[in-house]
Amino acid sequence: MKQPLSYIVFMMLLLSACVKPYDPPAIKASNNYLVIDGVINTGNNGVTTVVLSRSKNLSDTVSFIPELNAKIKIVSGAGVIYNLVDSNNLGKYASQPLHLNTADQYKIQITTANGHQYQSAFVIPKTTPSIDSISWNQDLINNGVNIKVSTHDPENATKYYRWDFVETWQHNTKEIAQWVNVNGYIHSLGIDFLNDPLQIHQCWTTNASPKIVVGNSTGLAKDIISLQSLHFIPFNDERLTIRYSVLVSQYALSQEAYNYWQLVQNNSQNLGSLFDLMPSQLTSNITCISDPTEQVIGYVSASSIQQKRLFISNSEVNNWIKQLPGFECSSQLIDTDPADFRIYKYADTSYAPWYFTGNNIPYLVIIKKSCVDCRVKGGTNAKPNFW
Amino acid sequence: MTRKLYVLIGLIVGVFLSPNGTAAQAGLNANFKCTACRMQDLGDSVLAKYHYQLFYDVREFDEFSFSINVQDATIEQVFSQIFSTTKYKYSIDVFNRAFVSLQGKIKTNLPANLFIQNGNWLDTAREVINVDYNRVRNNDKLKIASEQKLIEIGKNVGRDIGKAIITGYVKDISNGEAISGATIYIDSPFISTHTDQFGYYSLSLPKGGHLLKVSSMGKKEVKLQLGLHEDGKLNIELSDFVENLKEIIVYNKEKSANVRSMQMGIVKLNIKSIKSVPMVFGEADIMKVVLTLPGVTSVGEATTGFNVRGGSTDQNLILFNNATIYNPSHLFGFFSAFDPDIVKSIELYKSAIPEKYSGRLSSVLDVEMKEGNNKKWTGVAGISPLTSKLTLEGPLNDGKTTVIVGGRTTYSNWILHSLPNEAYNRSDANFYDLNLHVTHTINAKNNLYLTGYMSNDNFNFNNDTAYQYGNKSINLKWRHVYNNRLNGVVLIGEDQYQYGVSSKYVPINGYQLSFDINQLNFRADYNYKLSNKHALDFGVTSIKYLLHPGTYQPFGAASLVVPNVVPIEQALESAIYLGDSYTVNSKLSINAGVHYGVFNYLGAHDVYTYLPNMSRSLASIMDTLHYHAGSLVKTYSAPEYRFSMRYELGNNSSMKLSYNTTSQYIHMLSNTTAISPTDIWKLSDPNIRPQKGTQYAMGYYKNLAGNTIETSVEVYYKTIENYIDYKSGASLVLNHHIETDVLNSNGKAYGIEFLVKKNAGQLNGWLSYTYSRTFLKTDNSNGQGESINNGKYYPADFDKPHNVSVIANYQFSHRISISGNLVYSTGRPITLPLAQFNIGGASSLYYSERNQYRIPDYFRTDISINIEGNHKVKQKLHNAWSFGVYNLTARQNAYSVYFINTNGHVQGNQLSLFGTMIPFITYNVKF
Repeated sequence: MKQPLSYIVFMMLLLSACVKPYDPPAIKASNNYLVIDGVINTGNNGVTTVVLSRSKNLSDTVSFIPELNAKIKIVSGAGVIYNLVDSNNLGKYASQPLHLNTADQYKIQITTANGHQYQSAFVIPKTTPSIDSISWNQDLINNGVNIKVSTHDPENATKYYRWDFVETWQHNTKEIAQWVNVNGYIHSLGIDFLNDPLQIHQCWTTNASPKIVVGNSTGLAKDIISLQSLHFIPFNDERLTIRYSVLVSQYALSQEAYNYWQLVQNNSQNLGSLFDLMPSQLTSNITCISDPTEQVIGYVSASSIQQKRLFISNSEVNNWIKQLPGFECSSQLIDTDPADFRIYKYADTSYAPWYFTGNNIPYLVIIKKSCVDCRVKGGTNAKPNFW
Repeated sequence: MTRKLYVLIGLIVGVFLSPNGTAAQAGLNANFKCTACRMQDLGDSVLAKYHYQLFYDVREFDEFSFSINVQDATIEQVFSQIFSTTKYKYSIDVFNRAFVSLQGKIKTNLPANLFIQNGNWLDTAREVINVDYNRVRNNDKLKIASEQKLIEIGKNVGRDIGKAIITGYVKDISNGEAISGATIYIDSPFISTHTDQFGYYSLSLPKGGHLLKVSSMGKKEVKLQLGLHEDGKLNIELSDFVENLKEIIVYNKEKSANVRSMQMGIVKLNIKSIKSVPMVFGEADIMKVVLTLPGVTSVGEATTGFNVRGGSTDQNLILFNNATIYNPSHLFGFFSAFDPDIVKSIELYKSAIPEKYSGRLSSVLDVEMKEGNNKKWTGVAGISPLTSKLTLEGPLNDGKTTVIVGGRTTYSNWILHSLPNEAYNRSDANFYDLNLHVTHTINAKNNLYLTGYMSNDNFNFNNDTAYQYGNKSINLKWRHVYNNRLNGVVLIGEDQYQYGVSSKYVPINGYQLSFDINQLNFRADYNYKLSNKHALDFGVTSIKYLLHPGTYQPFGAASLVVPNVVPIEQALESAIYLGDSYTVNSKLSINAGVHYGVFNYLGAHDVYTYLPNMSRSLASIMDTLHYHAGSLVKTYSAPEYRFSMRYELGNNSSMKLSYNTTSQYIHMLSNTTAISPTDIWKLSDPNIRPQKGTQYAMGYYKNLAGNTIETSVEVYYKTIENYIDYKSGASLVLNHHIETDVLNSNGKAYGIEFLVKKNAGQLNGWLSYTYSRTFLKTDNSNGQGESINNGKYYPADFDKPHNVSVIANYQFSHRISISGNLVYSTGRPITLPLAQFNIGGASSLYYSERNQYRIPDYFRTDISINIEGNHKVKQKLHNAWSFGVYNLTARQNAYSVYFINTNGHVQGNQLSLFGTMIPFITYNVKF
């Protein structure tokens, strides 16, 4: 093998690999299926809430498409009708507090604004046992906090469970401003500024559970759920820098409903990893009567709802930071309005008043808004009543 | 050149020639009427009316037609009438042969007394051999046959009553390599046999004189004058059929292997035809050629898998000199794992699987390694921008031992690193493979064969995730010839397949995932020639499996990954088999066999038992049974039946039927939705039942244009039991209880395959079209508590109805040829996420029913030009260039389709590996 090698002239690519978007017509088509999310609440004074929405296409970035102006009713086996009303026009339909007979069976009937009619299968109410405890521990390996639920049914009748939760946490700004800009006029909060409704140092952010948690006790001789993992908060997450609370709701499920939720859970996990799951096909117990080929998402079940709340303070966890790092808190001195120094008209809205200074002529010190106004990070400055 | 060949023909037949070439024996007279006829009609007619065979070069008669109407004419008169006014010249000899050519009159005789003194010319070959002249003593020694001689086996004492058995080897004259599948036969009465993988044959014939013919694909047919008087040995050497482009291609009336071969659904290709297919980087590729055969479809671009007749990829048993190869590819399917310079031939069994093989439902791909040259040391070296390879072969120890070693490697990193794309700069891709085959002849009755194989692949994209995989195997065979009728091969060997995936991209998540399969093989295979009508095959086989089904370890010091090890699996798969090839008569032959397999799943293992009639999940575990090491956990056993028959309908056509049942105890589970598919192999266990398949197939074969064109149609219907399909939401990697994520499905597959193949001429190649469907049905009938698509039939992952492939090779001259291929197939089915929705606080995806959509169709054309150096025989080095373009139309075929969730919206992505034209150039040198 001598000369010929040197003659080799070539131009090539080993991996001309390319990734291009894949969006066949089936994906681009308007796949706005009706999504029915709700549980017929058979507890005493139970308010049944059903959220109606539309599914969105994969590429849509809008987070939620509520289905408005629908008529929803719960129909009992005996033929009694209970209407649900969307009083805030948010797609969230609620009943009056009801006392549904747990010996009866129920279904949901929906007529959407476009005239399509939907109906669920009749479901038999299950009684949800009360939550024994919501507990937590700090993980030894990665220092995060695990939140767990334990429950049991002395009747051994529940077996299948679903939980969701609403978490709320307090977050404070790095600096405290006792002066607050309200519509271009700076108010003073006074001595007891933290209790002033205008305060913006302390905020509370509330989030619904970002995932579906289901569990069962079928493998056990007794109907006990012990320390079922609900949620994990990574180490030094903002949620535990001051105080954190989680309200857990527990629902009893039928086996079919459990299977449905488990598949939804599978499909909600991340895509594109080595450990991807095989896709799941969902079979709802709700059908469109006016067009049986129309797909519907959701599974109606009926049960009472049990709730329990947990609080965790920063002092209870080990080595957790008390303030998120990384705030850029640059400030500057500006002139005040000679007419009324409390008039605020600084153009750059990324700044907010901090404090006044100066002897004769007051100057205003302004600071990056995120350093004094906790609402920049989200949440509300009104302390929740359970706090 | 022309003259030489004609003389050569003369030489072959010379011994029996009349000095008076054209003056035939007192010939037959016949009426002959034919209007607008072609040469083929003439060939058929002269055979029927005059018992003459007609020889001509098909290409010389492209445009030629004739009309004739004569009464009571001799063949001489017929030919004279047809050809005297044309530019064609004809000659007719005493052997009932007629030659027509443009090139001048063919001399059918040699100068008188060139070979023989006794010019006692006779009418037929059969009579010739009965005449006892020019005798060669046999002395029961091995003889190398030469065609001019009358070969006598045993002493001719004039009492040729009864039968005698001849045995021996058929080998390649140039390098002594065994030729398997060669046909050794006599025409009247029709008695035939085939050589086995060692080139060994055993044929029982009536004593007396015979014209023994030996033919094999790509070899010149040898005709031997045989005087058989007692049992003896006869070794035969065949030389390559050198296609002489400018000269005669004989038209003869012999049926080709396609029509005549016993089994159906078998494709045999030798390395020569494989090498004529254009391939990326000019590297002949066995797996890619297999994919162009009818009934075979690819899983997708650059994937390792192929599907045979609606079977899944794991239902193919791939054997490389008896070693089981689990992953037959390099660079994720870019190259096949078999070095073409070390491969002798491949055989693909699609329907009539021989009873000696089992363990997979759909097919057996038997790749045979070359044996080393037993005459001289030679080598082949090749170089391309990506790979280089070297093969050396030769004899040791006076040819008693032969060795062939070969290796290939890539050095593609430098190309990657020189690309102007940063991601490529930080990527690595390389592979190598090593092959060794040693044969040793202890004595005439004992041979040893040692085979070693090793392949390894590394692939690292953008310094992120590194993949590594490899096959390793070694086996030793001892072959013993007990007597004329019985011979056997005993094999021990070990095969291993392993892969690993690792990533340190995010140091905290650094992981290393590894997987391996080990199998220890033992088998003893025997052939017993009961009589000419019955050849028996029997034997025992045993495989001991040891699997590490997944080990997940932290990788890198910073990694916080928690180790996860799926416990090992062990099993023993054993079988006994018996088969009979029964030649009922020259038209009908039958092959029937039974293979009885036993599968033992062995401890130590913890086995979960599940509540009956409930969907298997962690929640439905009833009990955990602990089995200690070596204990028997579960035994499955089943007979498998193999039946096939062939019936010849005429000279050029035949019909074949087959019925097959198969079982499979090791299954592959592949997550095809991931970007990089990771395959898991799983043994049958108490919860995973063996797969069972039944196939009915029928085929019709017809040869046209003087056997230069082979056509076939095959149809099949298949049922599959206990096919493993995934549950919705199945998780496969590192699953300690995979039975909770799979469902038993039943399947049906059917299809029709068309093949047109032109073997000879300047333009050769094949065209195949396959229509095949595979449907699965997963319902709640067997109490598994779950169904897919509401228990309706749905297309399997590999259901690809239409498949077309065309391979064409045009030879401009001996040195320059151009070849092209074209592949089209329907895109595979896919389950698509159709929408996103919010429920219970979480965002989830709504998927279509299983496999209701398809990824885009696959289409690719490649072209290559091959230029060989000069053909001087004495030259030390023979070199060859090939250059061409892979994916000429630059179509971006989908390698994988996957979905990624980014900032709240889900993006579908189609990854094409070879989405542009890829030019290539390769230099090969032979020394």
